[in-house]
Amino acid sequence: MVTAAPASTAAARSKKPWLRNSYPYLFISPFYLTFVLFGLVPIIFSIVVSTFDWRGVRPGDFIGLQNYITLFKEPNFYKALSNTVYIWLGTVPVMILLALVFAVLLNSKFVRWRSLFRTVYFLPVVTSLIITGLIFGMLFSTSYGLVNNFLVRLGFAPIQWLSDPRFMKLILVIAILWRWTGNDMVIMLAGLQSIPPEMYEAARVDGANEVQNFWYITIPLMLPVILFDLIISTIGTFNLFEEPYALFGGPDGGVRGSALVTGLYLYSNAFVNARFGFGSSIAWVLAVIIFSLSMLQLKLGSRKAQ
Amino acid sequence: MSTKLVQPKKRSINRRDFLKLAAVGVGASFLAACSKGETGGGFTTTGQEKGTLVVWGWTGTFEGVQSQIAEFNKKFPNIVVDVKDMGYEDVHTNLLNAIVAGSGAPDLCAIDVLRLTNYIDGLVDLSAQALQYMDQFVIPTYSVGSYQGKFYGLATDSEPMAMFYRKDIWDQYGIKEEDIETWDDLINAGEKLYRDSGEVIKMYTMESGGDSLYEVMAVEQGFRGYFFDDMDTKVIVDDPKIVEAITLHKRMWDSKCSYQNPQDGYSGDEATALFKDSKLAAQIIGPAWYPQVFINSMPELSGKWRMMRAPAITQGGKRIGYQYPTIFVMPTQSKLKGPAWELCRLGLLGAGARVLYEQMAVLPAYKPLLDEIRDQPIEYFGGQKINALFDEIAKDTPAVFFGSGFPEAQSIFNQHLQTAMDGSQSPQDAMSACAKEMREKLKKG
Repeated sequence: MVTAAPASTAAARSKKPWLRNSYPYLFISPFYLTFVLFGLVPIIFSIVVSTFDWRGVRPGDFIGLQNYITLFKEPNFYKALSNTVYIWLGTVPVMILLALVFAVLLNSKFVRWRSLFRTVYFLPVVTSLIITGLIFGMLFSTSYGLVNNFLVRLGFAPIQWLSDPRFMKLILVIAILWRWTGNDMVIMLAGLQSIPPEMYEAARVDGANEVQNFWYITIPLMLPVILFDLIISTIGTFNLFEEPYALFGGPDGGVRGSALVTGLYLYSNAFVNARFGFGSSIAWVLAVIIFSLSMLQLKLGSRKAQ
Repeated sequence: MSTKLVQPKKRSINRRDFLKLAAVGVGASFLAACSKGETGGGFTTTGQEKGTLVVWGWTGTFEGVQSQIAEFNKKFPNIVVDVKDMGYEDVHTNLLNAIVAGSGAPDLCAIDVLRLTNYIDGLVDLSAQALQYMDQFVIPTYSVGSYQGKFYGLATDSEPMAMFYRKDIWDQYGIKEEDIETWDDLINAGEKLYRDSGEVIKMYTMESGGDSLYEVMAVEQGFRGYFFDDMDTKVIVDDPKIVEAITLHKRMWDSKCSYQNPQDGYSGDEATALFKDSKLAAQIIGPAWYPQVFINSMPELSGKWRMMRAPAITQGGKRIGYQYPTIFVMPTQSKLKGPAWELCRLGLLGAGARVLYEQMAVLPAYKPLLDEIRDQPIEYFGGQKINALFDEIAKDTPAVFFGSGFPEAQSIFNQHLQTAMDGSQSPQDAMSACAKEMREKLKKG
């Protein structure tokens, strides 16, 4: 027997359906409130700030898009951008390849003491920057570095690795590869371990060798992970700050700004020169560049995966 | 004629009169209470203040202040002093953010004096407080902590610049201090040293994009604002005297006796290693804190070093230089201004200055302490009274200051200096381009 709902409850339901439907939103609201307060508001504020000539602690003057116009005429911006692209070309493809190779090796059954190797490869990621600076100083010092010591013994002249513009970016590339390959390797390893082993077994049954397994099974199934790694490495490169700052003694990028990258350029303008408006415009231009590159990579990667 | 004394009419006090009297009484009581507190030139303290007094600094800046906390608490028992040791860049970035945000600034903060103008509008003008202590400042620490007539910060140390040389090497190769009066004299002596030593020993290090030597030359040429004129309204780097200095800088850079771009600069590990190996014979950029680098890093060279005035640009010219000390400033956000001033004063003018000197071996900015130590022979320098020489150099230095936009000017200058050093531009063209960029970006004449 169907009984009608009590008149009062039925009346309440019909009058306040919105209240009942709002409960899920209430549960998810903490995240969105936090995002609005600490994410969206600062983002919008930074767009507004970028239209002001705001220097130091004095109130700024509204100048519209002048900061952006100035930025696009600024030679140091293009120098920072070109240096960053150079670093990207020298690190990201190499790092992904090395990380994949190391991950495949560490995932292999024939390699012993895998935990030890995993730790060793990951150690640079957690090494402090001061130590990194000391290590590279000891290796590449002009007069007393190990590398020049070796070169001199072979009859070559010592090289000013850390102050010759021809070599500074190379050292930076080496430092980044040394520091971050382990991080990418861990990501790749996680991806490899998610590939079902039955795929390899089936391939072996069909007569595939290890190289064919790697090329026709591992790579295609790892494409999403590789793509993810590519995107975060790209973002990381354009936000690069710590390594050039530690290796070349400050935010100016060393001799002739040869190691000036976009992260240093932004920091220097915003916090050393106290030009908040100009710094915000740099941040937004970089954000657009990084977003565009990420979308491009995503599109190309998705097409390849299909 | 008779006079009568007119007696005032007696009347009862009405409600309005009573309220007036009460107001006067309260006001008088208030003034009496206030007068019981101390007035430190504008700050009134009662000793009953409560709260946490926050101090920001980095190693080598706050030790004097920290050492006086117990003494401070005798006067302010209800205030807890919290000294935060942050890195150099963190202090500056966080202070800027706090001032702009309107909250979160400390009560006292150590800053590099060349960044003073970044924070000016958020700092307390301490001129009234400092006035009574004027005779206790080492010249020119008062001017470096000031801007446009207002005083903002007490210096932790004084940083006159001198030159240091290896007496044993100079004696071996016949180089005499009294023969080095100009930078050109130094180049000539250095080139002779390099030849005579079989191209082993160089005289000095130089950085292609470092402005430390320029800053000595700028002051020697009479520009106490380094990149700016005395009013801080005009850029001066294309002045003929500055071009003359940069041309000299380029001659020094090109000389065979110059060790170019040592890793980490003139005071870094590579330069230290070269000194230890006796492959370098002089340190031409020697601020007053540099002797401690010698003593700490090269104890085995004790007795072999001497100090002299930096050479002049021209014969008979000035032989002076001044680098940038750290100063303690007070953000306007501080709610404990009076106590903060007292702590700052204790830490930097008095017993705290002694602690800082003993722990960090910096040249005191506190004159009575400098007077006490100036004539002490320093064993590391063969018994030479280097503090007395530093004091004389400081006295000869004009009232240097660091104008608005100094860090940005420094960065712009260093880039153009490099083009002059590597020959891609002449010194004249480099300085013209530098001046143009400074004028555009810093909006100065």
